Amino acid sequence: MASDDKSSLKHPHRSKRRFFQTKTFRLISMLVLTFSYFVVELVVGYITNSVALVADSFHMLSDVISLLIAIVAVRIARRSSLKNTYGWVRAEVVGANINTVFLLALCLTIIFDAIKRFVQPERIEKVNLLLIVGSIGLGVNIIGLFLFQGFHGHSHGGSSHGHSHGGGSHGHSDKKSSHGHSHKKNSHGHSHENNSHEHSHENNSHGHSHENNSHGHSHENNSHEHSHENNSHGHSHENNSHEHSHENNSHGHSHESNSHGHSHENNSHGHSHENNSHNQTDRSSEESVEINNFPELDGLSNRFDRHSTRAFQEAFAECVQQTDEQSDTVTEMEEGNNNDRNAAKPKKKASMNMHGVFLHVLADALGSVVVIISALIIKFVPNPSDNPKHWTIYVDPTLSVIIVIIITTSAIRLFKDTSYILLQVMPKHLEVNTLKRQLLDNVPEVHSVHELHIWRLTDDKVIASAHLNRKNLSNYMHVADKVKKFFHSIGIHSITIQFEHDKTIGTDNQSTTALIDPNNPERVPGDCLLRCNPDECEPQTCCTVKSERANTLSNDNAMEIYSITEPNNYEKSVQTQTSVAPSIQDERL
Amino acid sequence: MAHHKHSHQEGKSFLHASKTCRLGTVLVLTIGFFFVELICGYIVHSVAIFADAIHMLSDSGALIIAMVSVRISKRKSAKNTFGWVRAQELGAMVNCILLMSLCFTILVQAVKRLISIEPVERDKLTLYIVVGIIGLAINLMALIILRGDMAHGHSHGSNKNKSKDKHDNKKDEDSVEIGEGEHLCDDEPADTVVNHGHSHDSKPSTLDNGKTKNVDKKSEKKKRKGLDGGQMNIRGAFLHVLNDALGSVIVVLAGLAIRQWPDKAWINYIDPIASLLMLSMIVVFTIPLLREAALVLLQTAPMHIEVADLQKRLVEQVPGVLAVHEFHVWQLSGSKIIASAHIRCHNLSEYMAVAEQVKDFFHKEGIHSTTIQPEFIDQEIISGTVDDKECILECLKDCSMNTCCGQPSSYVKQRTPHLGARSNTDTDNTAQRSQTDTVIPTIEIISPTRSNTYIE
Repeated sequence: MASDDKSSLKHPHRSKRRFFQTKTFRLISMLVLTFSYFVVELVVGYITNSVALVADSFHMLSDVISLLIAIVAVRIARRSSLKNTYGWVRAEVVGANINTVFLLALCLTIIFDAIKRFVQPERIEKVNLLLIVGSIGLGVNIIGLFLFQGFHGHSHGGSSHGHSHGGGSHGHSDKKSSHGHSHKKNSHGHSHENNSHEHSHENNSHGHSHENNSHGHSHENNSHEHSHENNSHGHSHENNSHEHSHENNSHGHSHESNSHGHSHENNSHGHSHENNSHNQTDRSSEESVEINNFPELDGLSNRFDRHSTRAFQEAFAECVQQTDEQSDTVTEMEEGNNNDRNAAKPKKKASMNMHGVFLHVLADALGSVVVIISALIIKFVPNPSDNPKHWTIYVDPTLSVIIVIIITTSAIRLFKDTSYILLQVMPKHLEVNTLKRQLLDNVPEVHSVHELHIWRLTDDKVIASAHLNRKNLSNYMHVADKVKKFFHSIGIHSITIQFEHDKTIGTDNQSTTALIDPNNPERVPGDCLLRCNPDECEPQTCCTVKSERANTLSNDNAMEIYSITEPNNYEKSVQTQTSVAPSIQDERL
Repeated sequence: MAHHKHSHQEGKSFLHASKTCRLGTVLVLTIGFFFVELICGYIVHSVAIFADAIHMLSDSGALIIAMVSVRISKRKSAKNTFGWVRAQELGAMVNCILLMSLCFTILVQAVKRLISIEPVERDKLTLYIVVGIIGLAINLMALIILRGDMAHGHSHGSNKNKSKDKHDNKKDEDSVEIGEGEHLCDDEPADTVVNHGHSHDSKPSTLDNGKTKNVDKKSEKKKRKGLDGGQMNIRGAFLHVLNDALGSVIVVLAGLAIRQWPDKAWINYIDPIASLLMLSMIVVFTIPLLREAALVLLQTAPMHIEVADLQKRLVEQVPGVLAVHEFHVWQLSGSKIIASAHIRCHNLSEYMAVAEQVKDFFHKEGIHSTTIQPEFIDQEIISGTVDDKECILECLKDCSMNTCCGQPSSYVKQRTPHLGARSNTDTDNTAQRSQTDTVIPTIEIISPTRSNTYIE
């Protein structure tokens, strides 16, 4: 792993001389390769009148198409536009989605083909020609794999690498206690994971969360207690997160806004990293500290597991990588449920678009391997009786089906990821009700939250919008800043918050009947103050009044806020109770 | 269009059943035929019939995708703060791509057959023709059922031949653009639902277009905004079935031709060449739908909204708004348009009034889900620390990679640097325009003045 090479890729398209390392360059060079091979195959196939060659050439053409889609997506994503207020950054996600669907469709046709050949086996002739074509195809595709490996393969390798680095840098940054340095270190450590520059920042924040976590842990001697908790109950992360966020809050307030933001970072990614960063500190300090044995052992064995599997993976053309990664996470699950998120996260850092292309090329390479294997078998296994239904005939379709299954599993995962983004699903690590609760707790000036929408523009750009009700708008900029910081702390950096000043709230908190607005009896406290007339525009709003009411969360009782702020108390029942309250009133009216 | 009315009344009870019901019927038809073909193929050992059966299976796959996305779009979820309304757009896109890749494989087959001719076996000719005719019948039925959703202003010809099909489909595309809101099966109220948003529009040209049937390219474009996700979804399935029907037509034609002129050499080229023609046609039909669905998924502003213009007008028409930045308009699904903006106001006291007006402004533009973040600048203006284009509430700089826009586009009312330059007419204007305001802010001397020039 040429780490210096890769780290320089962080800003690929900014410097022209780095062009040969950009996505576009890789895509274009692969495109030229495949396209020329396509033309050669087509011409040769036409001259020799070989249908197999022509068919294979069209397979190459499908590769060319998927590469074209990826290139177009990359190009479009860079464009700015008047038509699209977000720019076209999503093009890469859509491109990846299209590529996966295309790949799945091709897999489907391969399966149909295989079934057809099971039913009516075709004799394979010109075995030598097949061998030659197969090996050249394999060569081309292996070059392709190497080209795209940087965008995809390293993300896996990096996950362990980066973490151990992070552990190391933790010590340094600890001593220096300068955030700038830790930034650099961490981004170095993680630069293996992704070479596309968009993602490098996400990594930074990762680094911080790690750092901060281990920071807190190692300084306070509670750390081992925490680790025990984590090891025993995987699901206790909410509670943990809570404690941490509180700790960090106090930290943050004493520090500058900079450290404040970062310590908050713990909240978001923290839960998932909690275990891992803990293990890191254990791992990195295992020789020196040696106090607490069993989590270390856990961590160690786990690490060996990971390494052995990784060696296997790299040998195995990275195809089973994802499934392995999953099995990795499964082993880690015993240690703590949260880790699987952690393992999944760095993987997603790789550009989805490139991942899609990678899968295509991988499918092709495996296809070539199948062709070679079946040709070899047919060539060298004697078929004395010249039986047209000899078993060697069935090698090719069987292997094809197996490969299709392998490819399909990873393609479906990518399809799911991209579709979730396109369907405006929230990021996985956020939970909407918890988030509302946390917001209300962290910013007590806010009375209620409604129309909270969180979605991802691309994999790492999270966008939120919310309407907040306040009793009065005093101290506006201060509160707005607090809300902004809250969202910043959970990794959402593009937000639009609409503050509403509800005069009816302030008058009487306790009696619910007094909350009815005399001007508009239909209105329920907590409703949006700036809403169209519900009858007219209902079908054109994103949420109906009813669903909006059900999703409103408010602090009706000032005392309640503080009672709930007690750590480890984020029970679902509390949330639902408070959130349901307005709709009950609604029915009563 | 008497034809159309007629057939509507005829099939009202059935054709206007729910979307899922219709898709289900078609699905049952295709799957049934798939099994019939499979069994037939097994009995007579014909690979061609197997291939056709598999084709049918891909058809039912497309129908299943359409159905599933209809189902999903109705679900609620805690994971998705918008619900799953977009599932239909995604379903449409997936179906389009599936169809295109199917076309690709057909292309490969056709080219292969052009290079090395596979003569059709004469003895199975009748079988081909029979299977083709049955398939054609089934697909025609499916087309008619699916068409019920989209049939809204065009004749229901029987798609007996290709050219007619093409004709019909063109019309489909036109008529489909008349959005039908959520009530896909209702006729009359549908138009009003969609056009409602526009009835307040400052451009009267878009009014009532939904009912005019003349093909005016420009107004067609305007109507495009009404294309619902549900319709896209159904259209994706429709295209699949259409592809199949055309395939059957080609099989029948090729079979008949071979039977008619069994000895001619060119006869073997009919099938691949006709397939190629069909492919190009299907691709031509599919691309607009794909484009439409992709545009929605890419968060573009709907066709009829000029973002820059809207932003400009927001600043111009709503008094009290000094600048707009982070202005985003996008289409969630169909006619659900969502906007968010950061606006800059003078001070807190006028905020709720301004917010009301901004809300009203968006409402008139047909955007009903808005989030407006106010920012107050009085203090910053005095100290002169904040640029017009900058958001006051910004993250630290190192988050710029994860914000949606690296460079927020903003639209700012230019401020004249001199404090006394505020003209009286302007303030009068403000007072006039904000008559309804309960709170008219006392304009401080320092507050920036409004003029009619703008910088971008």
